[in-house]
Amino acid sequence: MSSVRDANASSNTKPAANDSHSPPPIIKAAIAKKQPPPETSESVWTRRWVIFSFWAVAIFLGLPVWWKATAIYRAELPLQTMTDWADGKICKPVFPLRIAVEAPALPLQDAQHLVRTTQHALDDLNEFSAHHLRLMLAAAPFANASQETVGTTNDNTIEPFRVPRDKDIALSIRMLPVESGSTPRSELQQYSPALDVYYTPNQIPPPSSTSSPLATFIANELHKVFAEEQATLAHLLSTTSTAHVSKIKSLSPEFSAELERQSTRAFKYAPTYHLTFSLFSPTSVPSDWEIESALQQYLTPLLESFSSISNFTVDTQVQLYATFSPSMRQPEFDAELNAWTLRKEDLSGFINAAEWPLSPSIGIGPTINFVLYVPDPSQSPLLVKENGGNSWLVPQWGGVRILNPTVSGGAPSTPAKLDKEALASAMHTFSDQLFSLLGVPQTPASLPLRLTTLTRVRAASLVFSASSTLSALARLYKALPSIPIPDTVAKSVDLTTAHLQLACNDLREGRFQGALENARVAEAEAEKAFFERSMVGQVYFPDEHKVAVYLPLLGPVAVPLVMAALKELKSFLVWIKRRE
Amino acid sequence: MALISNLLALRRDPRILKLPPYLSALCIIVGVVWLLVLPLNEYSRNTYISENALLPGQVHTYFGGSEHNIFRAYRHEVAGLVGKPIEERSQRLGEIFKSSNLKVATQKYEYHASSRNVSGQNVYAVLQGPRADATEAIVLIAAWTNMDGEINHSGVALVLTLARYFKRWSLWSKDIIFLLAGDSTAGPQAWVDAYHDSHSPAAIDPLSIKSGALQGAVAIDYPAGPWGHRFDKLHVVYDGVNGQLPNLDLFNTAVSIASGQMGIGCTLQRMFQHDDSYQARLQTMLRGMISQGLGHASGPHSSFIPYHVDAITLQTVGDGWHDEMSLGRTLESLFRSLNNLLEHFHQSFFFYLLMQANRFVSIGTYLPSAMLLAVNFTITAIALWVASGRSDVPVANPASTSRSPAPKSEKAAGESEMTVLKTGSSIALIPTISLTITERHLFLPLTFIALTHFLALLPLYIFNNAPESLLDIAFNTTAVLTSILPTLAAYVLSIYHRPTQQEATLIQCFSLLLLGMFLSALATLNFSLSFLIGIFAAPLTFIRHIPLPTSPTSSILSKNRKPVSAVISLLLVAINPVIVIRAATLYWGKDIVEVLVQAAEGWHIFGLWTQVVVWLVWWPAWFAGGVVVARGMFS
Amino acid sequence: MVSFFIFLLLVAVTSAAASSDYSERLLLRPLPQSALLASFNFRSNESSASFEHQNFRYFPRSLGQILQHAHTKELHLRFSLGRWDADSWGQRPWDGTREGGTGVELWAWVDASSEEEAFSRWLTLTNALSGLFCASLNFIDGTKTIRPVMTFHPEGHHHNSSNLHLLHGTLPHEVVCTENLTPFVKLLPCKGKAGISSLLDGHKLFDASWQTMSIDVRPICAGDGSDCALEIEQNVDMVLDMDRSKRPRDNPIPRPAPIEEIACDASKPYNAEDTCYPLDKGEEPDWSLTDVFGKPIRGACPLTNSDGDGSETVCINVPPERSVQVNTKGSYVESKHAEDTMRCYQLPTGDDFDLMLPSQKMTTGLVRSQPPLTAARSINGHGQERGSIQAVITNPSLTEYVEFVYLESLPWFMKPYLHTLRARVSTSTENPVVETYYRPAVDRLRGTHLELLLRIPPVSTLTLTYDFDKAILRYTEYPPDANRGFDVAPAVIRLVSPQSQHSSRGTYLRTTSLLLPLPTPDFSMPYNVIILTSTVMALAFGNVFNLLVRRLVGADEMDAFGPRGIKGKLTGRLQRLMRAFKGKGGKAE
Repeated sequence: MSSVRDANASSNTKPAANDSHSPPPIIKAAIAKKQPPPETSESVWTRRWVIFSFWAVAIFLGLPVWWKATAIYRAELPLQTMTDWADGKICKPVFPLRIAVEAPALPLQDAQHLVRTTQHALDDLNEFSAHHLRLMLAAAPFANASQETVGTTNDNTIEPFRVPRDKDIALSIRMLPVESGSTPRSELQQYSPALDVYYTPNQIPPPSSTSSPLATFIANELHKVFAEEQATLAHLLSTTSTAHVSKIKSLSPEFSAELERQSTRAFKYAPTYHLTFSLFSPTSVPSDWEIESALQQYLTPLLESFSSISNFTVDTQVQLYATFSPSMRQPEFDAELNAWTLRKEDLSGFINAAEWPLSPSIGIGPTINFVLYVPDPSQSPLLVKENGGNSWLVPQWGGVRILNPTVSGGAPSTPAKLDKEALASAMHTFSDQLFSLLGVPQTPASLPLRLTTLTRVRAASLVFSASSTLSALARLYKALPSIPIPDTVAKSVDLTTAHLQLACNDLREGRFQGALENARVAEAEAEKAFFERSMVGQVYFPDEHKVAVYLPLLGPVAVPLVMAALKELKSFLVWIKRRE
Repeated sequence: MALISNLLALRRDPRILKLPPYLSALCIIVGVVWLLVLPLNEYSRNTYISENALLPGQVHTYFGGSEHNIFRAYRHEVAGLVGKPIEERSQRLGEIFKSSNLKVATQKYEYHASSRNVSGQNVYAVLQGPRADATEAIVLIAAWTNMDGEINHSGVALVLTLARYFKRWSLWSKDIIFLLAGDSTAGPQAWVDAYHDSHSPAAIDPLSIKSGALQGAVAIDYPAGPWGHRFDKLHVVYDGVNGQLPNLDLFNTAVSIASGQMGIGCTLQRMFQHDDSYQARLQTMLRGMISQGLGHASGPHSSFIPYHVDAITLQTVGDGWHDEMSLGRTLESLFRSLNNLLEHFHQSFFFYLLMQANRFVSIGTYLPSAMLLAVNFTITAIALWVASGRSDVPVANPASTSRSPAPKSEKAAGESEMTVLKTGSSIALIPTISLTITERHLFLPLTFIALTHFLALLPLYIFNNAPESLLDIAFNTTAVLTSILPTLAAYVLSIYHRPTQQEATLIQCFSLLLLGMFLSALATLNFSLSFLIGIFAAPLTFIRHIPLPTSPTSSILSKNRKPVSAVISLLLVAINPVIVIRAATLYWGKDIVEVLVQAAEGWHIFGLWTQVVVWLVWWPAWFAGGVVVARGMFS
Repeated sequence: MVSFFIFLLLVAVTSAAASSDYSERLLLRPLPQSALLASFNFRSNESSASFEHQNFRYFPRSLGQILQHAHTKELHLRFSLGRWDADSWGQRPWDGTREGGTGVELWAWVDASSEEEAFSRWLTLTNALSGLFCASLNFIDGTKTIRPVMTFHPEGHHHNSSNLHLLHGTLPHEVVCTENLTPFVKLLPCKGKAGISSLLDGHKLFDASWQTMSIDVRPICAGDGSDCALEIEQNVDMVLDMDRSKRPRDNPIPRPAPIEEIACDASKPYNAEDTCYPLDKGEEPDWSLTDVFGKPIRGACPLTNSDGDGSETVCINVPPERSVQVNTKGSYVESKHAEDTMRCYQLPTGDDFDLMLPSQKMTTGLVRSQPPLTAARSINGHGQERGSIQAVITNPSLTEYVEFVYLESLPWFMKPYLHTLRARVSTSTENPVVETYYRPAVDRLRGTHLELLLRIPPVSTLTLTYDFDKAILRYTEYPPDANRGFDVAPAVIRLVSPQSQHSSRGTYLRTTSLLLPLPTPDFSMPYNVIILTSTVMALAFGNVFNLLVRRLVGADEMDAFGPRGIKGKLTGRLQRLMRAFKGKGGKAE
């Protein structure tokens, strides 16, 4: 504390000491003594420096640290492109199918002319621009070889001589000149993507003519072959994204309903499916079945043909004492059918989810359940009331088949062990159900064609779902500014867009297998980005809380700082004013 | 904000020395008044259950019917065991437990305190809860003899019957331990010590069977003979050793079950007739405070509380129409509630003052009164410290605004010679006095205080270890000695012309400082003890060493200081701790030896530290005060 | 005697396992204090070939897939509740190899190339199992997982045991209940619809004084390692209190019996119509399967083979003089073993089967074989910051030393001090600790793992103590019921010598779990704490700041500013400003 007295103050004390008998000066002295000395300028400046340094620390150290400590990290996302993908602005999927025409019997110009005219006819027929067939003349080596075999219409002998076909060819037409039989006629190969067209040489259009019955016939055939695929794709486009609706002429309502039904019944696409074959019995028999060999015989070839699209794991189990759920209406005996019947509406409750151990298999990918139910001998045969059938399909879950025990002698008796033959029919049912569960189209007859169709449809649907996921993520990003976005999300988003682009290109160039691969990756990445766990942590921490936490600390600290600053500012201004 | 700077500025303000006595007085008055208003509705609250899991009184109780016959039989059994040797007794009780398929064990214990032997044997049985995994347990206690030394016939019989009855239930999610303690204080203490393995293996057997962590304990005190006795009310005893209290939820549960479900009235602190008036409340509260302040074991439950096991004793009082079955049903319902507990008691209050079975004040409300009492000492101590820094000659207040300064002060100001100071360009001329620095002589005061506290260890040791026969003499001699000791000390010191005025001030300053510190710390642990000592030590704030008359104009006091000092020191003798204790025992008609023996037992068995506070906190302060005053008698 | 009939049981079951691939057996044994030990045993196995191809017949598919997915070669899972009262019930069933500590205990041998891989597979295993058994097994994380060294040995035949990793985890706080039993029963081929499993009922099972469910999966091979099979063994052992279990479901409240039903001791002098000293009639109580389990056995499970040892699916172990009546409409076969102390029955298929034992005064009883070791463990001391654990292990044998492994798995927030570890033997001064394996805890990452190889001389007691500190947890690390305390897993004890004479699996016993109280904050107060601390900080800051920036003037000059208070301060400031103004002026000229 300053015990320093100002000079004039001390001078005033002296008289007070001397003439003590006269009060007034004393009082004056007392009054005069009251004025505190002015503070020296350096002390003023130290004070200002102190305040200034406090402020400096607060602003240049405190604030940044606080900001850094409380900021939420949000990685940058390409929002615009993401939404564009969803709106289909970036990629309009097109499905150009290459169709090779093998006309070994024809001279080149004629063949080319035929192809041209057929192409014209096709283009006239086709009303779905995105899906469009392109004919091309296949170079036909071994002309002679094919020529001599032309006589025989049996394909199996031809197989070995066929040239290995380029993968991108969706279908190949073989023009086979014949003399006999009604012409032109065509026939689709069962196990290979090939369409044989039989014609009489006189039906070859003359170079002058712009159209010919043969060409229109081929065009019609082709159109028939690809009708369902076109419809499915069209339906897919129309339902999934808004951008395409314009270009598609509406399908007939019942047809689209049928497509709708198929798509709802079918599983979402997955790279791996788990197949579970379960034998259920309300009694203790049959407790064993020759499932292994049965699978070997009936299912394995089928699964191999699917291998280009998805992989499959198979497991089986035997479950005894499997009772119906009490909620379900028990089967009742039907006299004229002479059988126990289940009502159609009860079929949904047939699977006793609570009791029967049908938990999905571990590992990624959905599980397809196939239930083989052997009813109690006292309740067999067991049928579905309405159609007398014994098998049905549970959409997106699997299939059920009731295997009624063979009636041996009078009473039906269940064997302790089901052998392969007993299982054959069930296996056929299951394979059919597997097809429709995987969304394989019904037509055309050729299996490879149906599979390739499936490839295209799957690729398209994956592209759409991935892009819609992207847009959802974009909306989330915009909607919740308070959630953190880690870098992994951004990375997967980039991957998604990249692979979507690739898939799109593949589609455009007709490399459908590659398209499927890329779309698959894109889908997976998109899902990963969307379901990132660390994003949801902070959502429920509103700003009121932050205020409530910071105020008690920052308030009392801030007040003196501000006050002092103001005071100093004031005095500083006064000082300035005094200067001039 | 400006706290420190203002203090600095105030340091030389003369007013600062005039203020403190009034301030201290204010603190004391406010503190006492504060306590007195607590019983009013505005300051106390109704009790409530804050642990939802307890659900008191929500269950039907089925104890009754044939159990009553069995109870009577057991009571006869117990009556038959009276006067039998301890081994036979515990062996028989163990058999009864065994007959209801419980695991039984016994524990011997033996304590020595002031040449008295406290020995006995505990019998306890463990009911392993069917839903329990040996991690938690609750205890049902009945001591063989209750606090008044009567045989606890019906209590023990009731525990035996309940054990048999509880065994049949399958809903216990905690183990239940049935403890038949050898006596009301040492037995439970030995058992709970051994349970936590903190016992002295020489004197106390370890427990052969243990269960999980104890969650709560309830003791029954029902000394009705073999022909029974219908009681009127339940007396809930809840004070623990050293004034620790059980969680208020346990108390509330017991009260709400007894009064709400069973219709048995509840009383506490021996206020058997409690009209809900102010006086009754105040009396209950004060009784509670005194027994808390003494910190002695008030029942079998007391020993559990230091181990953070909440416990109470239910004692039957009066003549009424409630029989043993209603008590049994109360216990059944209470144990069902405890069984519901998911967590250890933690919700409600651990620091409270009860003024009625369903009315209490919590620590937040009552603590200030004790704190104020403690603060008054600190204030005075600070004031004395400041005063001791002043030179004896008063400084004229140069900044006094009064038009008419007192003539002599003016004169002083006039005569006081000036000193010229120069710093830089500025010159100052000021009275020299205000520049002189008076230094404090700390050696004597500090040593004195230290010695006093060491001196206090002597009586502490004596009273804890003296044999019972000598206690009476020891006490009286101590009383006499301590009463005359201050005067003696003062005389001895005065031979060496010590302590000087300043040293006397410092001695008082330090002793009061310590007192204030101790009491404020103690208030958070044992409010009542701190408050009581604060009250009795309050006069020490206002006594002063009377200085030698400096000038003919000095005050009347200092003119005839010897008689005044003599009178004051006589008065001080009246608040000598020893005398106070003596007076208290006379007032309550207790035998002093009994009290001392109990204190010694408390020291050796329960780890009681009330006497520590008395001898090491209260007495030194009193002694220092006495010396300071008595110094005045010798020039 | 117990060991003998368990031996017999084992032989029977193993031979059965060889012949058929599903077998089950129920063993009933009345215990003192009107308790009844019922121990169910179910075995089924799958040839490893069909297991690899995921063709499950008796082996449950859900479990099989989990094992394959997690590359688990051998699995042991335990659900336990209550305590085995050794000194009145004698030796443990299966020598304790088929029981676990309170709550859930899981250990498995996982096939993995590295520790990390093993741990990740362990996590997938626990997660999958928690889904399967509705238990919170997924809470077995790194902090609850240890890798025992001496305590456990694989039961199955592993040929490439080079890269097998043993991991062990416990959940002492887990409450085992019906939702765990239901999936357990679902794993059985006969699903509680037939066979002895039809007796398994949640209400009775969880009213037992002690009960444990166990699942053990292990590969068993022929001697040369060919034709391996995967065996799953499921056990349910329980000790029922007959008085409680015989109480009807609709009226479970133990109301006091009417006085007429209570036998009074008339010899007492005070005996009167209102005073009755209860007399326990020293005869075996009457009971039947229907009384105790609420329903009879619904015939045999047809999957078990109908002849040979495996077919005797119900055995009761009572003295020969005890009369046992069978109540069934079907045909059954009774056969006696072990000098008639053991009666086994072939159940009729499709017809209910019930055993009835009338109340009977017994002259002879069965010999109860003493357990080779008894152990008790408790937490000593009290307070918030430290405590100590004390384990008392007694060797009742008169002749032989007992050598055993003591395994502790402590949570990380319980920090033991190994230097305070003391092992004292009551009779001798030699140090009983033969070997020590200690893996200290890492905060929030892993728990303490302590394994001791100890040796006790005959008729003596070993007291093992060590001190520990209690860590202070973070605000968010407390469970919802923080004030209950934290459960500490039971200690596992495995006998090394003497070898259990009738099974290669050794002899195990476990202590009870402990409750460790930790310092808990008042969870309702975080905001108050924030306010308080901020206020203190603000106060300190304000003072320092003011001291730095305030201008200090003489005490006497303070008076110049007239009365204190806001007004005074304001005027004072004003004057000071003016004075500064003047002072500058003075300097200027």
